[in-house]
Amino acid sequence: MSERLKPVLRGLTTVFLAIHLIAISILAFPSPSGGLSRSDWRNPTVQGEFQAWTERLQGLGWSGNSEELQDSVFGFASAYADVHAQLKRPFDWYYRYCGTYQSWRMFIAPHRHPSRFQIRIRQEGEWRVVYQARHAEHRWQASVLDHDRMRSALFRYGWLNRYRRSYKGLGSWLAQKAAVDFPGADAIQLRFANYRTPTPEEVVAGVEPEIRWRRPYTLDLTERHGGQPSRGNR
Amino acid sequence: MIARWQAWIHRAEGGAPLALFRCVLALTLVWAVGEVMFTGALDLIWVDVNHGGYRRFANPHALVDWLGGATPAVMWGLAWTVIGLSIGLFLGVGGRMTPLLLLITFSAVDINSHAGGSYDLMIKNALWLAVLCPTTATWSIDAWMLRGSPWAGRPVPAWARAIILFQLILIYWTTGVQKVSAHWVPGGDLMALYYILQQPSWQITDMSWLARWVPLTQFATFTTWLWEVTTPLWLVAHYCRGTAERGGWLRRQIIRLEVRTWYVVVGLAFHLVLLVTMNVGPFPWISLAYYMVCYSEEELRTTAGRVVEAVRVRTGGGMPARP
Repeated sequence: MSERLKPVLRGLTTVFLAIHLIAISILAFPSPSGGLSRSDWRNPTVQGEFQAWTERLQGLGWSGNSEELQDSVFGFASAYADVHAQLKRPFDWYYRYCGTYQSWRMFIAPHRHPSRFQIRIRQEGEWRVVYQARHAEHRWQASVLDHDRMRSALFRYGWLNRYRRSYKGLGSWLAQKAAVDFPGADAIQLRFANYRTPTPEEVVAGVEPEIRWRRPYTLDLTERHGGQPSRGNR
Repeated sequence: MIARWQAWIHRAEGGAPLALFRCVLALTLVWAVGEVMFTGALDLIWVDVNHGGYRRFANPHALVDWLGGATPAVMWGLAWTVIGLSIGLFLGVGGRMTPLLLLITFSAVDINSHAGGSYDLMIKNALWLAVLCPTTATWSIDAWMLRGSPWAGRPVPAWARAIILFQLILIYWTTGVQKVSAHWVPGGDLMALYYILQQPSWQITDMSWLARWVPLTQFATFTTWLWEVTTPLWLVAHYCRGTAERGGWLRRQIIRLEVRTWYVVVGLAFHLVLLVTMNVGPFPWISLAYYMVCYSEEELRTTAGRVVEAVRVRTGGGMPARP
């Protein structure tokens, strides 16, 4: 390279690096977008967080309640999200085409009301559990359902009553496999065991959490029998 | 001022850390995609519902569309392409073109936004950084073809290591400042990690035994939060180490106290604990790739030399010959 061009190239590199660092910093900066839904805030985990913060602020002399705190946070977060959206707009192309998207909301709050995925089949009128997340014996299709990517999907489907089409699609996929692996079964059901995580004191005292079954989805298997056995365990 | 900054970021250094970054990134990609292929999850996760998957992918990615949609043949073909290109990246073939092609093909494979995590973003960012940085300057087939030996490196600019480290610190810091849960922030019960480790979604095994070790989880919660929100200091320490010759009391203290090494040690310990307690996919491995650039080639060589010398002395190789 020509010695005369070297400083020019260096200068251009410096400018590009500055743009790169500004672009990724703006996008990575905390943003509430995606979490600005009052209906999502009704989740008991989110409500528990607001209650805990309300009590903490009240301890510091604030006289409001949880509802007022939620209104204030929602108002501020909405305004902030608008500003953030304006700031990142000039760099949208860079995020989209160069793989520099930034979203680092990792374990920002513990899920106090988690869900555990379960699959049952019905044989001769009796329901039998064939898969349960993290269970040592109910392991049908575990190689797929325990994969970290499916854990992520199941976390979403168990957290909110959204993603209905995807959840039903998963049900159909599992029904196809079940029809082959359990020729005597006439139905399959997907559902989530939802419970409040026991406190350490409750664990030590042997208190079992109260389970609430959510999102039951039952599919008929009688018309699906007759395919090839799947790779999953029975 | 600008000239001084320019001189600092463009100063030349050895390329071994970039080569290590490249190699660990390549192995992470083989793991991230290979595991989906060989556990049988690919046909469920990345194939369209009309072709045997469970989700409908309308216009998933321009390359997938062009190839005919998310059919098993297309998605398996793309997954194998990612594996092949990752091997090329590991070996250091094709310069910046290999990570660019990998970025395109991995983005085309990773079409199911429900089934993935932050590790996918970290991988894509790392691939773009591998496009920007001369990662094949040494320890590569490129170096072999250009200079006659894979180990015959050429100097690389210091900004390359700095922007990779900046990305890592940005990840940690922004996740730290978003941990506004009453269970994370000091002043509360510091029970965040206890409850997170009880979530069945990410557990490897039952963690209810932690109920008898609550102070330990509270300490870990506080340490994690403090470490994450103060990681900008790590960047400051990196800068101080790179400008040691300028002197100054504060700079000397930051170097003397090994602030940078403390951040590295705590960070690696954090990922080690994560590895044995939670299944978060390739997250620990892609993080490890970024850690490869924490030290310069000269520092790595000095440390490796000390280790070799210590081993030599311990095994008797360093004893003077008997008369």
